[in-house]
Amino acid sequence: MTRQLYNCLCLLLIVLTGCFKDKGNYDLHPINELAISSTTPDSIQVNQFDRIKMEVAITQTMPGSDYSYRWTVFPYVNGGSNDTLGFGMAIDTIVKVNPGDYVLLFTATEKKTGISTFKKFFMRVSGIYSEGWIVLEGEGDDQELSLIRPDASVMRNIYQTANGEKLPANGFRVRVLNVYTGIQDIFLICKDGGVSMDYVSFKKQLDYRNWFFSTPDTIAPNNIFYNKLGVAGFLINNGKVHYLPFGSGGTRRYGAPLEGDYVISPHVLPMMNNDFSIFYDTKNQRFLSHTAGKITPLVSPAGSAFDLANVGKTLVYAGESNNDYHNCLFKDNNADKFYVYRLNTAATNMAAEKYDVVDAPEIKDAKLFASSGIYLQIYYAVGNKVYLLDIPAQKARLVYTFPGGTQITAMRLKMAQGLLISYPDNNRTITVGTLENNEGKVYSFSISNTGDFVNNTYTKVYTGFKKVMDLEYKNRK
Amino acid sequence: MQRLLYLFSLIILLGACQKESLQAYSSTALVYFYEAVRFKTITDDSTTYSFAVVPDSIQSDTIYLPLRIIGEAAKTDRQVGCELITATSVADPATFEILPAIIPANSYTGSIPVKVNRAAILKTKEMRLWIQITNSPDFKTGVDDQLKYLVRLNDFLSKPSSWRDNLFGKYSNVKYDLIIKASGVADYTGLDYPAERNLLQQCRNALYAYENEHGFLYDENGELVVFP
Repeated sequence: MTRQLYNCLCLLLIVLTGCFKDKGNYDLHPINELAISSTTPDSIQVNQFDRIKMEVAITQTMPGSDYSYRWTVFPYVNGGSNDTLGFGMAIDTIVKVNPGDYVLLFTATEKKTGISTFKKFFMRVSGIYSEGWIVLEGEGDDQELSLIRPDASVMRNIYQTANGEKLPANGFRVRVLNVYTGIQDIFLICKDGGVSMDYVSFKKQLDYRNWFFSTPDTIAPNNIFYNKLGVAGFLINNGKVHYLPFGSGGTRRYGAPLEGDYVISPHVLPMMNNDFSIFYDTKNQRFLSHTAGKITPLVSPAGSAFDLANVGKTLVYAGESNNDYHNCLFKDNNADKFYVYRLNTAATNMAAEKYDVVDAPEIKDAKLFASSGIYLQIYYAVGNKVYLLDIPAQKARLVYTFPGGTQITAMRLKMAQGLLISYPDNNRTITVGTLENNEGKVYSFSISNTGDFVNNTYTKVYTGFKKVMDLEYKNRK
Repeated sequence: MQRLLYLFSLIILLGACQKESLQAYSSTALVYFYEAVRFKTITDDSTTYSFAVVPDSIQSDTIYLPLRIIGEAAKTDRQVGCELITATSVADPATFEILPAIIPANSYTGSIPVKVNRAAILKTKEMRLWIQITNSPDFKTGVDDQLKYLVRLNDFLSKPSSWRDNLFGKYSNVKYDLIIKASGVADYTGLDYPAERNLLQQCRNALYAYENEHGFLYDENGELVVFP
C-alpha cells in the first residue's frame, strides 16, 4: 500500500514538473544598433531626369562592424519593380523612373549577422513631358521634337535625349491621341514612314512598318487619328484606311487596308460613337462613312443643302466646328472658287448647310487652316498673314500680320478632341510657327469673343527653333 | 505487474509527443484528355486535320492530342494506354498510326501523337478516328467524360472546328478555300479581336479583288460568297 502511494506520488511529481515556468538558459548579448540620419528631408520632390545627390550618416552603438549598403527605389504604395540605384552611403544618380510616387530606401546590412537597418525617403517624381505644345522643327534628316511647357519653359531635343538617335527624316505631322483606357499615344508621321513614342519619356516604340499586321506594299503615310472616345484608330496610308479597334484589347496593330473604289483624303472627321467615322473620297468626290471595318457611301435625300454622294468638288480642308458640325472647305475643280459645306454629323441627313466664300483674300494660296470649335469661323494663313474666314458672312478679314519677310510654316488651334480631354482655354488659343531670318519661332495668340486675337497681338513668343514644321498640343498625362 | 502497467502508460503518453507529418496523395495517377474551353461553351473535344490546307509536299504529319494527369509528377517518363475504338471509327490503317504516348518526367501534361498519312482514300472519304484512353501500368483512366477524342482526317476542304459563323458568315468549301489563299490561315483558334478583324479584312480584300476580275463568286451550293 505504502509502495503504491510512493509510486503515485512519484507519478504526480513527474506530472507536476510540466507546471514549471521555463525561464530559459539563453546567453543574451547586446547587438550593434544603428541610427541612420540624413540632411535630406524624408520627403523629396524631383523632376524626371533630374540628378539626385543624397548622403546618409550612420551612428553605431558598437562601432567597428562591417556593413554593406544599398539604395533602392520602388513604387509607393507597393507593387512594381525594385530598382537598385547604388551601393555606397551616398548616391549621385539621374532619376530614370516614370513620373509617380516612390519609396527611396537605404539599407545597411551587417555582413556578419545579416541584420538590416533601413532609412526610408518618400520621393515624388514629376513628369517633365506631361503637357505642352510639341514642336516638330527642322527639315530633311535634321529634325527634332521640342516641348513648350505650360510654364513657358522649352524642353529641346526631347527625342534625341530619350533615344540617342535622330528622328526619321522628312516628318510632317505630330499626333497626340488618347485611348479610352487612359493610354496616350504619340506619333510622328513622315514622308516615308514614322515612329511611335512613349508619352512619358518620348522613347521610341515602333517604326511605321510595325504599326501594321502586314506592312503595306506602298508606304505613303497620310494621317492617323482615333475616334473621339478613343475606342478605334484609323491610319490613312496611300489613300486607304487601315483600322484598329481597341475595345477588346489584343494586338495593337493596324489591319489590312479597307479595299474599295476610293482614295481617302487626309482630312478626316472623327466621330464620337463607337468606331463611326467620316471620310472624303477624293477620287469620286463624295463622303464615306466607316462602321465595323466597312466603308459605305453617305447619302442625302433630294432637297438637301448638298449631295453627300456627289459633291463634285476638291476638298481643301476639313475640321471640327461647334456642336456636332464639321466645316469642309471645298474648291471648284477647275476654278479658284471656294465653298464651306457644313456637316451636322448628329443628324440623320448630314448635309446641313452650304456657304459660298465670296471674299477671302489669298485663300487660294493658303495651306494652313484651323476651324474654330466655338464660332462659325476658319483661320487660314498665307505668307506672313493670318486671316479669319467668317462662314455665314462669306468673307474673310485679316487678323494678324507678321513683319515682312516672315513666313508662316505651321498653325494649330488648341482644341480638345472628344470627351477624354478638356482645356480651360479650349478653342481659345492658337499657335503659329514662323520662319524669320532662318530662325523658327512659335507665337501663341489668345482668341477673343469675336474670333479675333486679344489686343490684336500675340501673348507669348518662343524662339530659337529650326523651321517649325508642325505643332500639336499634348494634353496632360 | 503494476510497474509494467506504469511503464506502458508512460510509453503511450510519450507517443503523443511525436510530430505528425502531412499525408500526401498517394494513389495511382489518373490521365484524361484536356479539353480547353473557349468562349465559355465550345470545348476542344475533337480536331480536324485536312491535307487540303497544307502544302502538297507534306505527305505525313503528326497530330498531338492533349493530356493532363491527376496526381503527382514522376521522375521518369510514364506510358499512357490508348487505343482506337474500332466499333465507332471509320479508319483505314494506311492513313494513320497511333504512336506511343507518354507523360514526360516532371510533367503534369503530355500528348498522344497520331501520325497521319496523305493516302488516296482521303480525297474521297473522311476518316473518323475515335481514340480512347485505357488503363496502363502507370495510369488509370481519369475524368469519365474526357477519355475519348475524335480526329477527323481528310484531303478535301471541310468545315474546321475553329470556324465561327459570326466572324466569316455561313461556311462553304469555296469560302474556306478563299480564306486560306488570302491569309494562309486554316485554324482560327487563339486570335484576339484586332487579329480577327485583320483576317476578315484580308478575306474581304481577296473577294473584292476576285469580283473585280471575275465577277461574283459562288460556292459549291450555288450561293453567293459574302463576308459579314
